[in-house]
Amino acid sequence: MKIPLAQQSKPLKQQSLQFCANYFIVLFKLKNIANHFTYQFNRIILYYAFKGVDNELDDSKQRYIIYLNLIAIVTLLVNIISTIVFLCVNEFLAALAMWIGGFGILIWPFYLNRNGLTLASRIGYILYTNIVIIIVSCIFSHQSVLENYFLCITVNSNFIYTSKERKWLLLSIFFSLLCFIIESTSLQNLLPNLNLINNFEQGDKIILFGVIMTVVLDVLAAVYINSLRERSLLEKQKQLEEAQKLVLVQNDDLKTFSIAASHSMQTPLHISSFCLKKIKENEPANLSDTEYEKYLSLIDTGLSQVEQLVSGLFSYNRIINLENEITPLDISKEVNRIQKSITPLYPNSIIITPFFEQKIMVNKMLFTIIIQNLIDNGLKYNCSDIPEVKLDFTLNKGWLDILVKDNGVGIPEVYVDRIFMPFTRIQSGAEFRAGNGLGLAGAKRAAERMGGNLMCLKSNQHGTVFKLSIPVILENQN
Amino acid sequence: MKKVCIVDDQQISLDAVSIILEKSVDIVIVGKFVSAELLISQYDTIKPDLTIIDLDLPGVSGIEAIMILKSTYYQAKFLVLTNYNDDNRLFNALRAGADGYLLKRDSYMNLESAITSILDGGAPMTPEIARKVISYFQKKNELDNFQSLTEKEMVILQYLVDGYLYKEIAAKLSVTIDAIKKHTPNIYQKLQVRSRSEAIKKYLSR
Repeated sequence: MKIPLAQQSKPLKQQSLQFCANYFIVLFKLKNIANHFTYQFNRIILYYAFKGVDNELDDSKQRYIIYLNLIAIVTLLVNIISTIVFLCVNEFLAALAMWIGGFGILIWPFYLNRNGLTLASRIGYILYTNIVIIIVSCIFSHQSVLENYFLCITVNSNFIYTSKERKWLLLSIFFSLLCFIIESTSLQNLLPNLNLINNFEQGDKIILFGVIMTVVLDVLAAVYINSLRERSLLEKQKQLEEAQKLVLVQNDDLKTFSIAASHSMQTPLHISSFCLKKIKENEPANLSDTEYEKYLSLIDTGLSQVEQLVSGLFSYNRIINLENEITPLDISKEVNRIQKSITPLYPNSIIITPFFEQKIMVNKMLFTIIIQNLIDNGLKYNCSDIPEVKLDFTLNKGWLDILVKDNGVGIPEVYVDRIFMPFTRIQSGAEFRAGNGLGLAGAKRAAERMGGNLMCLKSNQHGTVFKLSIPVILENQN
Repeated sequence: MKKVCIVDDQQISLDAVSIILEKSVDIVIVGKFVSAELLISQYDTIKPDLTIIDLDLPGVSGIEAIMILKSTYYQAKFLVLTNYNDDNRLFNALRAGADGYLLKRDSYMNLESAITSILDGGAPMTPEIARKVISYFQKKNELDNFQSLTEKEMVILQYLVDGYLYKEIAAKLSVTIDAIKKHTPNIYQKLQVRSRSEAIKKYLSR
């Protein structure tokens, strides 16, 4: 059966149309792909051209950075292309590479580290070393040897200090690997002028591969060392920032402390000075005996208050500056010693201390200051018939908790939050003279110096409970 | 007899004020308190004509106590007797309603006259404190002067302070030199100065 021509030609026509359509579709796709690559390329170039451009800088400075970046990009591209061509084609282009190298030598040292914002300074390290080594190798061996490229990477790695610079090192590795591929693959057939590979034997290639691997490992090690260095720098920076914060806080504390100290001393001094003036201005005849006595008494009180404050400040300062020297301490013995020194001052008082057989390693002086202060306060601010202070020791997981309970007048609720602040004088009643406001503040500092804490657990009209917690090492453990 | 009470956390201060005032025939001390809380709790019972109060008290501060008592007893009078001479405490105390502000340093001698002065409607202050109050209002006046400048005048003044010449300022603002010459007398007048250097001095010291 014959097939009509029209029917035969239709598929052919269709086929040719289909082919044309496919051809154009491929072309269109290729164009799209090309457009896409062009777009991406432009985007990358623009990204790097504007690298380091800050809106806060003025226009001329911004332009200056963009020009530098463009010079950097162009030099980098020309450097790569000319070096590849130099390897593959002939000696003439060696001059071009050298010229580019010379250009780089002129530019990069000048901008090296000068402005960390520009792209130029970042890739400057890499290009500078690349160019210098190419030229040196050209001078001494009259040809570019593959090892030289990996030597470039090794040298470059020593200039890598930040994570941002590391990516330029990766570029350098890629650059050198590209040269390796060109030299060692079948490209030598396509590029007959390539004079390096022709001389290579199989054994040489293995040695070369070994050298490359050694160099790559060397580079990775250098990068790792530098990242460690960077991390350690960051840690030090963090420590420095924390220290700065601490200094600021301490400065504030010191300022508050000095204001409070001067304020506390000023009043008794002003009053003493006023009384002296009064006595001096008025002849004894104009002052009655009683007045004279009163002024003298005020001077006496004022001066003894100042003396007390100075002594308190001295003790407080000693607590802060005392070395945290740890010695074995028999707590029961030490508390008994404190008890013996305090009891004569409060004849009807009772101090109850449990027996604690363990010897601990602790700063004896700081420990004594705290316990002495708490017992003394408990007995001093106390109007019970029999003033009583009871101590309780608990040893738990390396911490010694000491509870000091008294049956004193207690601390008014409004003062509880402030009792550990220097120069806070607690007015517990008219019959008690307030202290210098440094006792509890000093005890708290002493506890902190020992790595522990002192707090007021409870306070009401029936008494107060303080809790001292300090980290301790048992003597036998030590 | 005028009733006076004293609030100070230092016993010696309470004793000294008592000794100074006990000789006076017109003044009687009706209370001595070591904290503001005690004063507030007993104020209604004693109803003093004047309260001598320190500012740095544990718990409720002197300034807070004045504020609390003034809100209830509008006529209550307070004389601050303190060691602090910083602006913050001084102006807060005056805003809270203190009628006088004396520094302990040199006021014990004249305490009696200061009390009489307050009770007669005066406002005694240590000379140093009075100077601070006057400076505050003078400074405030100077700030008001600057606020009276227009935006353009402020820009011109800024350029003058930066050391630009009239023609440079004119070029920068895209106006004629005559316009700048016209603005500057207005600036001087508003700042109450006579010359460029005085205007710069005032601008820098504000």
